[in-house]
Amino acid sequence: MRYRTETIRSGGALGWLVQRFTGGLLVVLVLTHFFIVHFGSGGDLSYETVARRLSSPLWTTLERILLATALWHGGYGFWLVVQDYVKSFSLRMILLLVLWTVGLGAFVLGWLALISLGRGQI
Amino acid sequence: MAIKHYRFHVGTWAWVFHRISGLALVLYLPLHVWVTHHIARGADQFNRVMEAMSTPMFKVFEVALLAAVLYHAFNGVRVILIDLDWLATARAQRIAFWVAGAICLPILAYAGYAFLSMHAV
Repeated sequence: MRYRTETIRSGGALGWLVQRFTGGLLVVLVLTHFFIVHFGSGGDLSYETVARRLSSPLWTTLERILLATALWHGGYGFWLVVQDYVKSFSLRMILLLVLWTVGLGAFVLGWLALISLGRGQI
Repeated sequence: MAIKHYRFHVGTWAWVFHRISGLALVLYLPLHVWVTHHIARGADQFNRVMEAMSTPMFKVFEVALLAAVLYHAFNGVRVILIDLDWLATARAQRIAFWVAGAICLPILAYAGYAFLSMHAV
């Protein structure tokens, strides 16, 4: 199976195992997120409704887990693709730096937004 | 290149689509966090973002996004099942591809219809 040979070449069994678990979790989390965001509250997408939902501890906790899991899964997936096609070591390192910068930046941005929403500072 | 020696079977296409949808999603993700974090900045910012996203172009984009999410999710389940050796034969893996597609399509059709018919906010 092509998947397996890719795996072994691109960073070890642990990384791949984590990718499997985060992937399985994301199937549930992303679809829940998607459908509640769009169709929860009867499709009411006004600021008040959305802000109220985002101030509930259950929802912000789910969003935090989703944020971390999706960024990790996406970042690792991107890294696998880089290793498949980018042969130059220096370019790989540049892309790895970009990946961590964008990933951490998005994580901090999302986390801070969830903190202020959770406090009800809206 | 491996492609020279590799016939394109269903499994290969499944892998190609998985990679393309994955790349699309990973490029979209930081953008999504950037856009949606504006909701933490008050009603004005939120309304401005929502207005920008109620154009027809964004609705089509949203349906395409859902298609990528659904395919990546359900083909991802197929990949996990293959790794667990629950789909040992090539035939089972091929059937699983079509089953994944059959799960995606009605969800996509339902949500896509709802998006496109939704009123501008």
